[in-house]
Amino acid sequence: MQPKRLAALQPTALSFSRSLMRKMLRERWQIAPRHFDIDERGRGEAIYRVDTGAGIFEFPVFSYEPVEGDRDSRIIGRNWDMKGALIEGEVSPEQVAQTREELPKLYAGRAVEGTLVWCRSNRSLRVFNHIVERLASGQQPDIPTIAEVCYAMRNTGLDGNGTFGTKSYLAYAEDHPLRTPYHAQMLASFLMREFAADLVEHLARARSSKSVPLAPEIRRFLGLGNGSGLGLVLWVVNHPRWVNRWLELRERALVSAKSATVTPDAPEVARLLTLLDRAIVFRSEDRTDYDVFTPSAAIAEDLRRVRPLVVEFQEQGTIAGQPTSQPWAALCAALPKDLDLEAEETVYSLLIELYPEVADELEPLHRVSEVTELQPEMTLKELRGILEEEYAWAFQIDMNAPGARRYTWYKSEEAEEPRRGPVDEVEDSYELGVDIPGEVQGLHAELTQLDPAITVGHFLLTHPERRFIVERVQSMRGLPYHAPYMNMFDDDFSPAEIIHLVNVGFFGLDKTKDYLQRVLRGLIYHGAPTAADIAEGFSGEWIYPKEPEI
Amino acid sequence: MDFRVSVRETKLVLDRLLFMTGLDRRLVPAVRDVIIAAELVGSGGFDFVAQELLEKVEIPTPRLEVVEERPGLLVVDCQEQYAAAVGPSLLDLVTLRAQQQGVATLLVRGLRYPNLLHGLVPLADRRGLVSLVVTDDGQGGWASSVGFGTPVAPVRRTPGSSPAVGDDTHYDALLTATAVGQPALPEDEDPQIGGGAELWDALTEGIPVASERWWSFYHRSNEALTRTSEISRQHAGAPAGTEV
Repeated sequence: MQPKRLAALQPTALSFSRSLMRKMLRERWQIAPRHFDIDERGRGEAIYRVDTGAGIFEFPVFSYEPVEGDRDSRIIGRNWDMKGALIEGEVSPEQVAQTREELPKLYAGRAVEGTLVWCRSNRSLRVFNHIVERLASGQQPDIPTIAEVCYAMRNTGLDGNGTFGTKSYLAYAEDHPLRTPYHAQMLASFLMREFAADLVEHLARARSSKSVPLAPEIRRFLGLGNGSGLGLVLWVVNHPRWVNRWLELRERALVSAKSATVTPDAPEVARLLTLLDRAIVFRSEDRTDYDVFTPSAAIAEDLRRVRPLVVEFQEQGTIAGQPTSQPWAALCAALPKDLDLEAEETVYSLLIELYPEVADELEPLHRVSEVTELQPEMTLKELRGILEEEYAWAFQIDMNAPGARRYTWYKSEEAEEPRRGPVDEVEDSYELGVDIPGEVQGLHAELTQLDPAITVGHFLLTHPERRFIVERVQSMRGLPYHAPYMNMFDDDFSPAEIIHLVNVGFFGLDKTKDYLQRVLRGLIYHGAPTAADIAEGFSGEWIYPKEPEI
Repeated sequence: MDFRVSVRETKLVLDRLLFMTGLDRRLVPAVRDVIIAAELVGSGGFDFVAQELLEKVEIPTPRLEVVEERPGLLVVDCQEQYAAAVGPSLLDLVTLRAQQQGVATLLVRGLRYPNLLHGLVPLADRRGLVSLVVTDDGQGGWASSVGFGTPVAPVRRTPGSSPAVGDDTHYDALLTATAVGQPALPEDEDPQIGGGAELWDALTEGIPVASERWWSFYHRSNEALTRTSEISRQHAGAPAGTEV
């Protein structure tokens, strides 16, 4: 649970974007615009229809001409190039009208009944117009240009699960096609990506009769851009049970893969080599300039060192010279000790990828109760025992060290943007950070002074301010992955590491580059099948896409 | 227009309103949950918010004083604190006594908005306690709520009279609890069981509220957000115009 290790996690079959894509492919969802009324400057509306076979969703889109000089990729921006809403069933004109009016208000607006997600995105300043111009001239976009960015539009907000009146995850019925948490947001992401591709083609057509559509491989290569910030760090500290569950399921999937009995001629051996090769090429071609994360070239180099071990098993039935029938466990044990963490995690993610059926089986378990409960009858002796057994990491953090409490976390009145600033630079704010190590240390110090036979209930009568940490410690008892081992107020804490965990591990984003250690740009559905692919029954590999060759 | 708000946004707004009272932030979640639970059992959680939290008010760290102990009974003085603030401690106290002695009764005095204590009943259900809360109903009568010791059974609320405890009829609230069941463990995997019947309904259907009231909560809660400045803009995200 060290942040550096968590930040190394890679997209896996359990990541929500990938699990939704498997579902869409398996069930061959039909996705297409049923209405597209947008002018030559990009102004107008469209409605996308998603037929899952088990139900209909619709996605009204409101499209705008970009306003030069008045754009902001952060959530504080107010001018977006598109806004959309994912709604259950066929939308009526009244629902569209109400959504058109309410969505721009965000927090001060109310989604119409049946709304799952509100979202918005902006065009890429660098790539969008280039693509339109090239298509209008009858040419495909320049690959090096699009490969610098890899998207035409960039998500600036995906809100669901009760926000703005959207439907809460727990209200999704048992047979709801998007019942898995975050699948609704992932579908909205997919639809924004589809809209971006449709829009560039539409604008190109409006400019010239010689225009051509995007080549399928380019359309597939383009993901949806994404920018994420500090809010995800607050999400992690406030949703310990969800975090624990996701990581626990990921561990179960990895253990399952490692325990698989495999022969050298089994198809998963060849598939692992295919995926490894795709990952090596993907990392070699990656033009992203990372800051705190490992450069892709180094990861590619590390993965090249892993490949011979898999080849050895395929050819000789051994890993590092030892015969084995459980090659994936042997492979993990034989990985070079100096492998970069991200390269190591890439290997683990590929092993999980070999067994998507395991990920599918685990998927329903993502729904968890977030209710915590105090147990007043517990003795202080037992409570202290939990602290000493499960929070050794928290005692190792020096909360009195210089810089240990330098930062405060708060939300700005500007679009409720989560922010983190030095304490002496922030006035009149309410602390939103969660001080697990400080609270654990403080609680423990008090418990050592008291009769261990006293109950928690009596202790709290005289120490009511400890209620939060006591309830949390009791409720998370025995859960191994609920809290990253971190002091989020420290000078040296890097929020980007925790944002990376959520963006990459949980959601499955690629090419996540940090900016000032607190914002991550990344790609959703980079290389993924398009709506047309899904309808046609695409069955090839798509993760770790190679740059198209036109 | 009336509409329904989600539990998530209700928590967000109430947290901010409570932050502004100066209540120790580590107590905010527990106090907020009592307010929400009171609203869900029809005992005026949102009325309390509307009447007390939309203006400047201070909520100190809540403390209880057990002023008298009789066989099977504790008399507690809450020193004119809000019922929502002392509610979590009262629940702990009645839980402990019920588990130690089988049945427990608290006679509570010095409460403001005692009606909110009806919100303790679904919370007691989660702890496996059969419970009864009797308070003034705020309209000149008395009301009682009964929980059956299991979170899946909804709380039953009825009008009634104030029962005498011995010869004592002077109190703001009466809490009784009997330990009968197994608590719904917090790690219960079923969200429906983990939170209880009322919370489950709220999670799935939302909480009904008059729009005007909701927006008054919302706008007041926004005052807990920090004023923006050039410096604070540098505390998040990338500078405007940077395509990251």
